[in-house]
Amino acid sequence: MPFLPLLSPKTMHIPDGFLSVIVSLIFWVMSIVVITIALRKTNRDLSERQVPLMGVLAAAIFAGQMLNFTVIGGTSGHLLGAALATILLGPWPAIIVITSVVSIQALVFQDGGLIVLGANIFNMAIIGVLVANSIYSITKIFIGSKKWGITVSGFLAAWGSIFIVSLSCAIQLAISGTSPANIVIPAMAGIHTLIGIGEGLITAGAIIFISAARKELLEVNLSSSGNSKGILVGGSLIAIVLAILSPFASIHPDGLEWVAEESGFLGFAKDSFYNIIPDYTFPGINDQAIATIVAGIIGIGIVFVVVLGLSQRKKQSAFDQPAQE
Amino acid sequence: MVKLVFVLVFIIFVNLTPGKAWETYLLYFLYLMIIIFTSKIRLSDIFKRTLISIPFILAAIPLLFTGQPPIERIPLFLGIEINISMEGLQKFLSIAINSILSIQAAVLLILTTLPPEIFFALEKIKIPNLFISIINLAYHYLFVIREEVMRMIRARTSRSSSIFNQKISGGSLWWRAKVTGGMAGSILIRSIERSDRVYTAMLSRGYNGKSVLSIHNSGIIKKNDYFIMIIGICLVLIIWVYSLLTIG
Repeated sequence: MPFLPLLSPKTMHIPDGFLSVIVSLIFWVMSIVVITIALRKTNRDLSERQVPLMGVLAAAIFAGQMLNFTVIGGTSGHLLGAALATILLGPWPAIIVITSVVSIQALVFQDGGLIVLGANIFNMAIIGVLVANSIYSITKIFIGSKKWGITVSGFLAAWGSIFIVSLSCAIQLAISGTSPANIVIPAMAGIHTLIGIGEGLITAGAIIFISAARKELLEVNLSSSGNSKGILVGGSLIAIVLAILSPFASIHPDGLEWVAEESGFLGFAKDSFYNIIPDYTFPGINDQAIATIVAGIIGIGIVFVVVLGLSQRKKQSAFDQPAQE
Repeated sequence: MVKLVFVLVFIIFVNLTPGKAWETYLLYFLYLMIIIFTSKIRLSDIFKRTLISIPFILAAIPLLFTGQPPIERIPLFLGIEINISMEGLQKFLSIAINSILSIQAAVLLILTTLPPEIFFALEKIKIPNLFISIINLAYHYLFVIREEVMRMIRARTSRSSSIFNQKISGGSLWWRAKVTGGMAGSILIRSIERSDRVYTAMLSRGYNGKSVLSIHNSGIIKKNDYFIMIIGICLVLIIWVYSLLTIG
């Protein structure tokens, strides 16, 4: 399966080159607007002592992403932390914390590109947090009174946020013309249904632990003034729209492209891609050339397997180097 | 700051370059190589770090099979044939090359610049101060907390809760998830407690709720640096215009 190596949360970090510049810029603008609001809200609601709190928590979530456990042989559940941060801090501070995490990953560890950082922030920090917040708050109304209520809410919030984030990530890739919508959306959704379960289980486990150790931390969130009806509705809307839009888009991939083209989204970035001369017949290709290509593809496949193994180790060593400085 | 702006401009224009502009990619590559050689970094370091992001290229692989015609039937071994759209192949290669060039530029930035300097550069390009303070703090504590996590993982491994085989691992899937979740939860609680101590420590050193940036001398920009930045950006622009001209 070509998608097997994507079975890690790193899938969410889009590198540079995969989104067209226009799409990246649009998401930069949207992210900056939301982060500005979030900064203002946290600044007003909370005192200056929030700066070390959010800084240290961002570091904790970053480091916590190393935690994993085996689900079934070969696949493991990871923690991404958007839902956990939301549950502990409330939506606005969580947006800032996850934004910091994603920014450091891009700026210092090359996890995710710089130009697409806006889109990555939008996916993980904004959509992830808002969706988790809505699911958590709403399910808590219904089952919060039960003893296991918050644990289940936490699981659902974590799973839902991962799932919806993967959809928005897939849609961005599809709009940019990087991946065809009818393949990338089901693929991303399928993989992240599984990854979301891992995330959900860890989040649930963490909630059980926290409610045993420091129960009051779990109650801060909902009473905080930051959690207004507005964000609840906003988060739910994002979740519903993305959940409805994606199957539609994957059934009618041309529809998405049509929308993108009509709205002048892709303008000239795409023209160059799509204006390929239809009757061009590659005269240079004979058997030998084809053989080379196939060899290349097989080679790429082998390299991927090796890289996959290495990248785990590389990531560790990339982590180690600055530590020694 | 000069470096950050230059790298950003470089990546933007690499990404704006139309697909199939193979010569242009080569020019970008040469340009990067010249910078790399003058910066005295070992090539192997750059390439090692570039590998990190390569698995994502898989996301573009379906293009190979779903692009528009002309479609070539390519015989694989054992008589199996696959259809590969030539247009998809070109798009795929363009995306891969775009991505690799961008990543190399970013790696170059990281390898020649200390993270605090990058954060200082962010301040120069008017990112809100509060946000930079948080990032800066997070970066500093990252390694402390990472060690804590590593200790926990080591402890868990020695109690063998991470193995898949249930007989050896001693617990069900839910049990394993709960163990890991407990680790995550305790890291968060410890961090919240730690942040209290950090805050009191900061207060006692005169923190007033403003910036906690450690200001580096290198953050001061000389006129000369601006000049170099503009020349560098002009070179990128020239390569980009060249690509537009050759593709049409």
